[in-house]
Amino acid sequence: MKNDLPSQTEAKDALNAVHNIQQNLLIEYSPPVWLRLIMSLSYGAIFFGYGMTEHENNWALAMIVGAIIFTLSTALYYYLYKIQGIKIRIIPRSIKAEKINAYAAIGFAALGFFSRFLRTDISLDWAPHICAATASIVMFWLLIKLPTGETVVEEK
Amino acid sequence: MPELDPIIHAPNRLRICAMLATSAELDFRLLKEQLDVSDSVLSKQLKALEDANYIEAKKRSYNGRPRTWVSLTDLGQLAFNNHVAALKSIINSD
Repeated sequence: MKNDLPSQTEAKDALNAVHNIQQNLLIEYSPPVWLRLIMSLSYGAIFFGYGMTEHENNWALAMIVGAIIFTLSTALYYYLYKIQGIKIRIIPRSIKAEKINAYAAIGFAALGFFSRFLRTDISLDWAPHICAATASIVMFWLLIKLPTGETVVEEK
Repeated sequence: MPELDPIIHAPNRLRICAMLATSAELDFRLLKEQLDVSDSVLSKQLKALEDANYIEAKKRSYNGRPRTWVSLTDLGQLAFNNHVAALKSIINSD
């Protein structure tokens, strides 16, 4: 291969082909936005319910309903991809996706902790609202940018 | 400096690897649609990648119909990453 190295233009064309086909695949087959919105909002509801729950008040129900809707919508998300011929990756393989997932996991854990701690121990009553909104926005961003769990969708 | 992989370098095989790198597994039908090639052409390209242990193809039944799912192996992922790195190094070689 060393003797017939492609020119810079050919290499650029090859990289463009890689980029284009990956981006086309991610955009063309991505599930509807409403489903991703439901997933994000129900995910946020879990954080909100957790932050607001005291003993057995109604917010515990919000947390449970949020978890059920999130599970069902995630199953539908996975299924919609599968019937189109794509199995999404649960555990990422690329370093970039691994990093994003690791940061997200740490961030969500922190949001869960602060959602409750700030309200119960420091009496910041708005903390669950902020944490739930942040969790929803981050989840929505992840579903838009990393729809199959591996390759990042880039701006056009 | 990473070297170009002669198996992946063919345009269709490069695009197959690129698509497979985005997900856990892809259906044969989807690959065919995206590449706009015939079954036999795609099978031939997949065979070349499979012989190099870059991909795995598994046949599974779905709603009573057989479907072939193709995935990139760890070796294939590594080879694809190295190939992309080699292409980038050619572009940045000035």
